[in-house]
Order: sequence, then structure tokens, then C-alpha cells
Amino acid sequence: MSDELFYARPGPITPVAGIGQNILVWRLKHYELFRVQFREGLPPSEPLMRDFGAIAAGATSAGNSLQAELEMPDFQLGQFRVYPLEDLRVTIWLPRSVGRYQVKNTVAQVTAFTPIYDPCLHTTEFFIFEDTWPYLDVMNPRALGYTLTRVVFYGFKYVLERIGTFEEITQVSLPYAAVVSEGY
Amino acid sequence: MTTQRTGIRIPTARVNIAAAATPTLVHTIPAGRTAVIRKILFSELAGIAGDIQIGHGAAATYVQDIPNIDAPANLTGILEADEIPAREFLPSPAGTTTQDIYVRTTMSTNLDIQLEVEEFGA
Repeated sequence: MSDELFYARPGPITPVAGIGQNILVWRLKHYELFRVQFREGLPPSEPLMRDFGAIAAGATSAGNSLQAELEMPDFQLGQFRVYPLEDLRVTIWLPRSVGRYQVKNTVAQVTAFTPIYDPCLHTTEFFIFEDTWPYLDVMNPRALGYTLTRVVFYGFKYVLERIGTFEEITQVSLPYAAVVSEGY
Repeated sequence: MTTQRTGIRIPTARVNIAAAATPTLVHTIPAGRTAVIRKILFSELAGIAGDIQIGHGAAATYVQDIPNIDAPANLTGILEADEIPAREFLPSPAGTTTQDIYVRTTMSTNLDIQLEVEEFGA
């Protein structure tokens, strides 16, 4: 597997695979191997921006489904980076019961300070396969209530052709770029 | 993609404020965006000194957001971003006023004002 095929690479977001190349998707404790048929960018724009509305000082808006913005069609994979436009602390759950960016005892968040330490946002990168869209908890850390609480997503999408399903990664003999879609 | 928080610069129309204490709409912020004033240009045409008051909300809902700006009689003025108190215009917590920027004066004066704002959004 080429080092160039890793995702979450430092720098501007780049596709993990080209047309005709393979993507290995980790989904719920098994691996699914796909070949890329088509690839397209998803620019940061209002349709991929979610406004969670008013959030009181110190309060959290929890369990927000991002189906309307991020659900992918059948056999399509979305590669996304994320940033908030307001001073917010965003926790991503994908699927709903599993936190992205988790360590043993806690789950990291995407905040307004994330672009300061990670200007290209590569540490926020995550993947959505078909209908496994994320849920977001959005927290207002300030002593002042917000009325506008926006989070923006952008990245790439891939149209895929299934090659096979594997229980162990050692069973995969073809070259691939490995990504995590859900679980872990 | 770099994620410095930069927006797009939008000039407003030149708006005349003819009567004292009457908030006049200077800039409408599109839904889903916030705005910061980066430049203020004004000219006092009536020979009457007064203060410029920038805020949000029309008529009785007007709230001043930036301290008074002195507008001497028969003079023009320009304020750049560093000279303007920081204030990001966004929906009011009360939900009754708009995101739009309104300007009024403290005294009866014929004042022209034009703003340049930076809008943030996606």
C-alpha cells in the first residue's frame, strides 16, 4: 500500500484514490473493498453548511442528524473535513453511538481553535459511506447565547464498484487506500 | 484549504440620513451570514455637527452596537478597520430584530454614509 494513499494527510484535502484505484472501507468490524468509478469535489458552500440555530450560554444542542446535508447515495463514499464558523465545540458521532476522534477515555472535538493549530484541518477528516450519516453535538462554550451556530463541511465524493468483503485485512491482496467509515 | 477566517468585502450604497434619531437601513445581511464593518465613509452636508450611531434594528427596535462616531460639520471622514470597534452583526438573541445594519444620527443633520463590510459564511 502506497503512503500516498493514506487519508487525513497534512495539507489541503486531497482525494485518497483516483479512478480505477481501490478504496478499502472499514465498516462495523469488517472491510469492504471497492474500485473507484468516478470522483468529484464537494466545495464548502451553504448546502453543506448546517445552522443549528440558537444555543444558550454553556448549553449543548445534542443528537443533530446530518442526513439532509451529508447522506450519500448508494455505492458512494464521502470524504469530508469540517470547521465551525462560530465559537463552538463540535462532537461528531458516526454512527450515532460511536464518537469520531475518540481515545480511550474521551472524544476530541472540532472547535473554532482547531484551524489555528491545524490550518488545513486534516485531523478532522472523516468518511461517510452511503446512509451512515453523522450526528453532531454542538456546544456553546461562551457566557453569551448564540442565535447563529454554523458548521461547514467540504471534501470529495467517490462512486464505487464493490470488489469484495473481508474479515481480515491480510486477506486483501490488491493495492488500496484504507479509510474508516463507521465504528472503531 | 487554509481556514483563516476571511470573508468577502461588500460595499453598501451611499445612504442619506436626513432626520435625527431615525434609524436608516444601510446594509442587509443575507441569511446565514454575519458581517463586520471594515470601513466607514461619511460626509456631513448641512453644517450641523453630530454623532453617527451604528447598530441594528429598525424604528423602535433599534439597538446601537458601536459607540458614537463624531461627524463634524461640513467635513468628510473615513474610518478604517483598526479604528472601528469590533462588532460582528448576527441575528439578535431576542429574535425580533434583523441582521441588517442601521445608522442614525444624534442631531438633525444631512449626513451621507457608506460602509464597507466583510461578510462571513459558506
